[in-house]
Amino acid sequence: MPTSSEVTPVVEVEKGRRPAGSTTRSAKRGERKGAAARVLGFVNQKGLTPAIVVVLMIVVFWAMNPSGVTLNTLSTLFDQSAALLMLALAQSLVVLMGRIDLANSALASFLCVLLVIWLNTLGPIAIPLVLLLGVAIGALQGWVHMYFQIPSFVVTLAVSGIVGGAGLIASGASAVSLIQNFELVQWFYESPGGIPLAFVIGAAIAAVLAFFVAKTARGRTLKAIGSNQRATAYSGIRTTVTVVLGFALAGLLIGIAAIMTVGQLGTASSGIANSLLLPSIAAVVVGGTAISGGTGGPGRIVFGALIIALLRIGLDIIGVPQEFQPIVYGVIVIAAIAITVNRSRTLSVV
Amino acid sequence: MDNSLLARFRRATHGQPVPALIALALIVVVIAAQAPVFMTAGNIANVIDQAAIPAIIVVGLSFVILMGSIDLSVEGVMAVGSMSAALLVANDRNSLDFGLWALPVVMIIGGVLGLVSGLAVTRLRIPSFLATIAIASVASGIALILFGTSAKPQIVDPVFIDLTQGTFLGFTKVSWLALVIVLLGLVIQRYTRFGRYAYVIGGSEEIAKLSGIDVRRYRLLAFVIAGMCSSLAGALTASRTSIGSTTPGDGLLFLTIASVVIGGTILTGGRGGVLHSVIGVLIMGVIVTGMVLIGVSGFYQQIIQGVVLLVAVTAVAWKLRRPMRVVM
Amino acid sequence: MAQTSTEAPALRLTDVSKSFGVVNALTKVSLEIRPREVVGLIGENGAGKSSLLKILSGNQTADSGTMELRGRPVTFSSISQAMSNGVAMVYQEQSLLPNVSVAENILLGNERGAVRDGFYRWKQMHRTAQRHLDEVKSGVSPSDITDTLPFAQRQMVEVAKALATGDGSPYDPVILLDEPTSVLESGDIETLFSVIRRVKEHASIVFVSHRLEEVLEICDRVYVMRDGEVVAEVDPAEADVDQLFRLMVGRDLTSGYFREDLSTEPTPDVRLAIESLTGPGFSDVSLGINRGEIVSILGVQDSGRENLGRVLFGALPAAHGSVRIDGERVGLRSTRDAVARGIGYLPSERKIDGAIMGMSVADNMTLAHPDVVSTLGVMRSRRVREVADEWIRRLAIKTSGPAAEMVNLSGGNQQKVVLAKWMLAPDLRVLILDTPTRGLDVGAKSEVYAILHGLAAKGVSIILLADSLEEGIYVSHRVITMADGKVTGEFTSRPGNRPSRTSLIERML
Repeated sequence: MPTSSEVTPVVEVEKGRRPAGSTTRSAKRGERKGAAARVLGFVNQKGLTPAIVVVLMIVVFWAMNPSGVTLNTLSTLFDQSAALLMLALAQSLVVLMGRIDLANSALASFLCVLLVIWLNTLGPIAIPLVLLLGVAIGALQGWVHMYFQIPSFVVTLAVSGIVGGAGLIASGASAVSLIQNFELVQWFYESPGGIPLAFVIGAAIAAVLAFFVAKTARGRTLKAIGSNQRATAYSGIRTTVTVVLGFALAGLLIGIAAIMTVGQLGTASSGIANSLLLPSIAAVVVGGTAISGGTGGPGRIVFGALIIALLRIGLDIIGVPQEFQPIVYGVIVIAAIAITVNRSRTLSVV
Repeated sequence: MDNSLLARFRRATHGQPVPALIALALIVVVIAAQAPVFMTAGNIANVIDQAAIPAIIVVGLSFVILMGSIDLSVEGVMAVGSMSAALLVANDRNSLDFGLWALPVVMIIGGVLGLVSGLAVTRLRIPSFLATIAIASVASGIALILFGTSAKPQIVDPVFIDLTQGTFLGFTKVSWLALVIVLLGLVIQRYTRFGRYAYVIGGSEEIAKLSGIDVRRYRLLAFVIAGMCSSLAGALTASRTSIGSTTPGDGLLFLTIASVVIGGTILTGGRGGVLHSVIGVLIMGVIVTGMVLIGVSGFYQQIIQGVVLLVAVTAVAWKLRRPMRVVM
Repeated sequence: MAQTSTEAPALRLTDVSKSFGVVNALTKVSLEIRPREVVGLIGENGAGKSSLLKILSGNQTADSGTMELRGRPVTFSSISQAMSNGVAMVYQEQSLLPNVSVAENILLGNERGAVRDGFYRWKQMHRTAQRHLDEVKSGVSPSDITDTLPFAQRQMVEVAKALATGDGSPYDPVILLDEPTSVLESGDIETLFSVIRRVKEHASIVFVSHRLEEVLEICDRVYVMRDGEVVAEVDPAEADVDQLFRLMVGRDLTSGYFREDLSTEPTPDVRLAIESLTGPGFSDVSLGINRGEIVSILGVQDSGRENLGRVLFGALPAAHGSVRIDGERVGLRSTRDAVARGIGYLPSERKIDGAIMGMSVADNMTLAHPDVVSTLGVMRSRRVREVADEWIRRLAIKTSGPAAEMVNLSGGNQQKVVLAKWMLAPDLRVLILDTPTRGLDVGAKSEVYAILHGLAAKGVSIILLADSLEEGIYVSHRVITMADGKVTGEFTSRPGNRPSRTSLIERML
């Protein structure tokens, strides 16, 4: 087998350390370069960089436009980032396993359409139905990917086309509006005591997921698969089951994102959430999860999502036109991956 | 060596898109049986006209996929192509009037976008599906900026519009243009170092490197060519609709990737080629036209393309399956 | 026979050294390859043969020392540079592209006149390729697509490709053959040898092989390597296989090295019962292994022993047959089944299949048996740390602690972590080890042997796919030989009653 070990036997081990977590290295550097570096090393090691970036961004935007940064805008920020946060969390689980989900936002759009239609016709049962469907489609994607051994980006790309078309058919290619049971989804956006509920719930879900990934035996296998799937399988772990579970969990989160979106807008169309795909990937990589899998996790995503949401509002505050935003996201994704990508991990990138 | 007739046929047709051609013939027969109008000259010319723009896209896409990469920036680059073409030829927005010279300019713009994708993949080592998604986003932003805030730029250049509206020997001029580009693609594939090395790199990047081939240079070039093809396709869409649009390529990414795969170019690289992909485009075009003739709603197109993509990839992947194989 | 004329050697290495970190792959290697001769290069795994080939072929550069090509000092900084100087390698795993034509493969990266201004001239290309195919008397057509050819014919194409690298240079080429016969049938080997004899008229050939008889047959001179050094230069006319073998193994193998002092007698009750097991690459294997017994399986590449190990662990599907542990049937559908029955497995590719580099020592250790450190699926951090600390101590693993990342450990210590992964199982019954000492230094090897004896003493049954004959002979209670997917021999092995190398090799080929 012409594997990497064949070509660069020992060198690979030397270079194989990951940028995010090379504990001993950053510690050593800290000793040499004094207190400032030590603090930076600690921040980096604990994954606190995204949190600090969030605070810095708020300060910068406030400095550029003091009247633009108010409690009100921050509250809007949290509201706006709730659905994005869910999609980013879903993406982070998949990326943690070394995979990618390109159907993420298309599935959310489809579920939005179904949720509106079903809330109008079926009533409250629409909510569990949508969540269940999200789980089912997610699991199916994972299974097709693992069983047929097709790259995840291809499976999810195809699924994004299929659910996109299904959404068109279900909605009749126009926007569908919620005319009944709005209260079942709207409560997400209430702010008892000034705290936006949607974001609190989102943060709670993130915390649960972070615990799952970091502290449970099953959650740890997601990370192990992302780091080295073969070694994980050789440890007696059913990798197919685990990956299917990861995609199913992502599907559940996408379902929640759909509920939040409908709750916020009261309407849905077949492309309603499509623009969130790149921001969701951006949130994951900006949050410090390496796109090659195995590092990072949901805990960091909260701040990744906040950074992306802040960026969206912040660009508005400082008066950057709407049409520049896709460019900004594109550049951010490339820059963030370029910084975090582990160049020694694979021989080639295609 | 086995010298039976079948074995000799297999050797002679090795690397040729025979299965795809048979599939195309079968689908044509089935549809013609259901809807006799399909086989009329007018309809055939229409099918080919519809296939022309996707065919131009897959010429570029084929080289990228032959090398084992993917280009998901097709729709974004087409948007830039459409908007910049509309603003370069005689239009109601500005006083520029490049005429047909707009096409090479548009292709250079698309080539630059492809260059950025290619650099991100080869230098920054970002997986191509992510790099090109990001570039798609950047490109659609550029298209939005070109679009500005007023109404869609209307094209008033009759020669430019005639490219897609006018006919020559019974076929639209864009069909002939597509034919020329496909032939050009075939020559590049068969007779140039770039074309042959696309197979070598897709066959094994490792061996290519061991043979002293500068893999990064050729991979970069593939993305540039793909960008040029996509932006030309965008410009031609503008010609067809007489307006510049920021979403001229909606659905074309699926259509083209599904076409490439169904034609027999496999996503892991090294097998297939331009001709395969073009036959794939024809297959998809015949299916879509046939569906319309039979009376299936256009909404189902995207679903069918997605399913076709999945089934085609699965069929190829089935042979490669083995225990403990890791596919991310 | 090699001539001792005044002609400069085709290639001469003087004091070439190469190291990777702390491991010395090559130490002051000096050798020469003369015009029109076949030079044999033999040595055990890890003796430095492949490092030497990589330096000769331009894949890697030496840290120190000089290389002279026909009397001129050179350094090959890339493979293409070596090729343009007429030094080409025929790789063990074949470097032909399956999806392009034979002609393209033969002239890959070396098209010269066949490509003008970036455009292919197919006629000329086919003509040149045909000329080289004729040289190796191959009946293959230049326009054939490579993967339609049988393996032996592809090998000839490889040789033709190597010959083609000499085209650009006025001198005869130097061709490096890396284990060219390892997967060939005997008829094909004869064909290859006649090609080598003919090609040698205008080329120098380096022949690397594990098959010592073949080396003696085809080579004019043989260099023996051991531990990164050239330890002998042998005239094949005056040597025999046993002599070469002794030179390769070299060190006086004391019982201390294999830790025979720690060996204990197995209990006479069958722990693992394999019945007529058939899987990919092996068939009808029946084997009973007692409690506390170490059984080593020996076989050359593709003997089927690796796949037997993988099937027993559920990593490859079994065609039919059954496996029982202590009378209970083991499901063979997934690795999970095996682990649930108390089987552990140590894969040969440590860096790809064994260690998870991005995770900590503690996570690696506890991955297979999370129950040991978790309650209701939730990991207890302190318990994880305690367990990891305990095993770091018991196996004397050199690391900064449980939180250290695997990448920062040396190969031997990584291997110990992977061993600990199975040793901390509450009920480890069978441990399968696929060449566990490959790539480890001598000290680490000895430590691994001590661990195996300790496990056996506790009643664990061990299947050892040994890396060398000696390891197989001295570490185990019983030696099984496999060839072509079948068990070909079974030998009891106790101090004072060890099977002989010759009797084992006979059964392995």
